[in-house]
Amino acid sequence: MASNGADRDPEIDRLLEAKARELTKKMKYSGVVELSKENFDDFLKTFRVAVVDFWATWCAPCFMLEPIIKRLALEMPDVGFGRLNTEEEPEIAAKYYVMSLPTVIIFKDGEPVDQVVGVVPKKILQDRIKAYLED
Amino acid sequence: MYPVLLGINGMGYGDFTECYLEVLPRLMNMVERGVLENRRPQYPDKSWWSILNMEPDPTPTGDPSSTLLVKLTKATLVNIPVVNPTYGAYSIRLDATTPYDDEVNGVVNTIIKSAGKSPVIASITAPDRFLHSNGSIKCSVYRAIDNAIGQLLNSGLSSFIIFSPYGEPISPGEGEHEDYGIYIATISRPRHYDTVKLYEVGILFRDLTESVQSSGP
Repeated sequence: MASNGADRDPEIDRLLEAKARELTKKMKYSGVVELSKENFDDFLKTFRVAVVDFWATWCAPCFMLEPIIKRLALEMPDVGFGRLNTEEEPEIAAKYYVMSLPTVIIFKDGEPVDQVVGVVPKKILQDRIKAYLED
Repeated sequence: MYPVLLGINGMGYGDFTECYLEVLPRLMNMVERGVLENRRPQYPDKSWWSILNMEPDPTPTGDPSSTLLVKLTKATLVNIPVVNPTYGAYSIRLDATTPYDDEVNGVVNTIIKSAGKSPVIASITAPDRFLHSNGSIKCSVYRAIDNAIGQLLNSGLSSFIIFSPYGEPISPGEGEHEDYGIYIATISRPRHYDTVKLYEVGILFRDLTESVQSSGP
């Protein structure tokens, strides 16, 4: 039997609304998000675990890593995946001490917890990310 | 062997790992590597005129052998897609009639024959001819090219620029490719923190040829 509005628990409504807001925000950041100073902090806040690929147009290995990041984004929907062009946003790269490219930084609750420098096989990157989803 | 400029139309770095290539990734770690930038729309003829004329916005000339780069380097041209059929010592139609492995083998054998006598400027068009409409064969095409480059290196090639005038096809549309292609060479790129521009490839090949000829082939 369908319930009418009077039967609804306001606490459940509040939780559902919060969940809907969270999902809407995550949908905004689906796939691999192009990051900039405008959306970087909001992106990190949206996901418990987020992965940022720091790259540049002149960096050949960065282009080798790009499809690996794209595939991981499809396979790990609970994780946020973003790319930051270090030429366009040098301040953000400097803030996280990115000295070599490509560098992938894994963030948990908005804080950097791990980083991988250079091109690595998908499995290695996936395992490193999974470790932060489990604890 | 004299220096070789080998352009592979429509190849990108993106699937080097996915396709389990062996030669090109190892080569990247041994010589200069970079990224070639050429913005959409990219067409084979316009791109190659830019290289041969060493100009960003070239005026196509009727005879590829009379272009500035060919005059300066005295290079043999092989399968250059400025006209259809392609121009040079090996030539094919720019459609699907020549299988990718036939083209790759034909170009490589012609390079090996020619590079003992003069510098060579050559092109492989297979990724551009096939991958706009059939992405599923990408790894087969890439592996054929990877093997062929191994064959070139085994034949004694030691001075080269291997590049793509533009990246992978991204749609069935002819001029639609990734803006970034490969650059793997025995000559340093002009600026470390920048991409290599298309017209600079001709200038770099002239410099490479001059430096090799001044010290003997």
